[in-house]
Amino acid sequence: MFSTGTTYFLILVIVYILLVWGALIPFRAGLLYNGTVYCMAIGGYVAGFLSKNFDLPFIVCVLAAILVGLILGFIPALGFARTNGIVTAISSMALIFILESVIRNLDFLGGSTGMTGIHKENHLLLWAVILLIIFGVFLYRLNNSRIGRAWEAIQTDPQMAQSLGVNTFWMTVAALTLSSVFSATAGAVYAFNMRVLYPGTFSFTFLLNIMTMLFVGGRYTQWGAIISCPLLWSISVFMPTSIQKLSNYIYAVILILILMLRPEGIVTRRMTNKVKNFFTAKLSRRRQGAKA
Amino acid sequence: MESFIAQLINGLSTGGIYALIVLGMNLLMLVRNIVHHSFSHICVLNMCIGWLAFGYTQNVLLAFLAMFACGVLVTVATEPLFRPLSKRGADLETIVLAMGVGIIITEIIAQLFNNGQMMTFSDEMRVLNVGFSFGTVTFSLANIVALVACIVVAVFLVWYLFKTANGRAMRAMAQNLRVAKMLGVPFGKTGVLGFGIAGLLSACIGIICIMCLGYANAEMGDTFATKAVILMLFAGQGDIKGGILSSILMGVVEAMALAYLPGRWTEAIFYGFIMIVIIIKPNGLFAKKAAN
Repeated sequence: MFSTGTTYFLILVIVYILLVWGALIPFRAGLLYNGTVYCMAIGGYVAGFLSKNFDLPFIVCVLAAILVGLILGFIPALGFARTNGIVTAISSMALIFILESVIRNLDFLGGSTGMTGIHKENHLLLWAVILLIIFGVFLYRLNNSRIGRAWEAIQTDPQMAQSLGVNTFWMTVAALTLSSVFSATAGAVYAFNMRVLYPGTFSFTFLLNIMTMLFVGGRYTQWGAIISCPLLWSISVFMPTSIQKLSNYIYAVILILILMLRPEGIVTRRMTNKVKNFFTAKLSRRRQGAKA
Repeated sequence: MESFIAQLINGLSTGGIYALIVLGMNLLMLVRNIVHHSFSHICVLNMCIGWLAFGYTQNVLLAFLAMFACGVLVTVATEPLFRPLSKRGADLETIVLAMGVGIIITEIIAQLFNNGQMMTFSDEMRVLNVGFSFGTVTFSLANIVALVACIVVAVFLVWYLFKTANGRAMRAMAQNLRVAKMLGVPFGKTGVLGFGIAGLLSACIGIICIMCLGYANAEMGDTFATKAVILMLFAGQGDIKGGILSSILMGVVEAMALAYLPGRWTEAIFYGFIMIVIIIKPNGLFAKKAAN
């Protein structure tokens, strides 16, 4: 349907959207979690390993990646749920360095030279879109559920949330674990898209890309990612080479300006409420019209 | 035994450099309640400016002066970026903003200085890098200078913070910004002063790094930054004595691990150990009272 370049671009955008959602869920519980890249590397390497050595189909690899990501995200989450604020942000960043060092030392994962020979999946874009829709609907339902409201309470004031009967510890663990599921899925799709994985890819720069997309798009709603990911990623793909060289500058400058001037990001909670009101108001007017 | 003592001195000097960076970040933590993740990037930028200035003038003193000027100017220039965030009390966002600043500085070093190649400093700039032998143990004078400088700077900082009016103002702002403002502490002036002192400190760190290491490249900023931020949390935010002790301790541990453990796992052990300590004691190893 699309040319190879466009398909590649679209799949990477979907990967980024999933990752930003992965960073958004802990943020709803008031935590800045930098472990998304860690879980993404886990998902990518699990999917790649299964596809390369056991020749399993795409969806089995994704499910396995989700399972392993869930388990390996759950264990550090038990620790991070005890911390808050800057401490979580920094100590989860350390996870990235630990995992990178571990992958470099494991020969069956390709070590420093990288993992090659991941099988080609012909309908990857279709699969990616299906996964995006499933996760998007799931996240939307979750945001408006009991758990989502509990997270929002924790974000506003942890002590108030506790006094209202929210179990902050397990809610935070749940947020971090769900975040790792999103990131592991993104990693699996990424592995099948690139078909070669280097430990150096999952690094600090990658984390900054995700953070930029999260903060520029708006970190209180899930819709910000859908706008900011294509916008920012196209800077480093479609622009002429002379500008591409400056893409890191552009990312950093956009991030700094947004943080200084528009704290909630492009898509704010107010904006989504307005859109919601616009549609619901129209609907109710129509209903009234039908009655009359 | 000789190699052990040499490694010990080496580790102590590395720890001294870490301690200086942690001191600078602790100072900024007190002034504006921010985690200035890009502080060590500024130190590396200072080294590069020194390299450039020495290339033009062939005069060591002028090069050092240029480093001091650059350090103060760049550090103070970052203050307006953090101001709206610290007024808003958004401490989580400051670390992301600082990461953005760090990326910009890293890109500047990688693209503008020496075409991204590693910069090596001549012996004239490494004035104090004189071999020194004590019995059968030989070591460089610069290592001792790093350790001594760390202690001198720490004593000076403690004196400044606890005995002068400006230092008291900084501590007041660290405790409670609103009350401090109400009592007439000038928000802007005190902050700029703190950033200026941190800038001087960053130039000192640059000079000591030139003497001890003798090279500079773009990746150094990231490595130092992550280690320094993690060490700062390890000791407890804003804790000056704890920061120095833990930095020197970890410098020694790192040197010993590099020398005596199989080298491949050093990084994983270093970060893993610190992460576990941070998770068990979220307020830092030297925290006296638990936060409520």
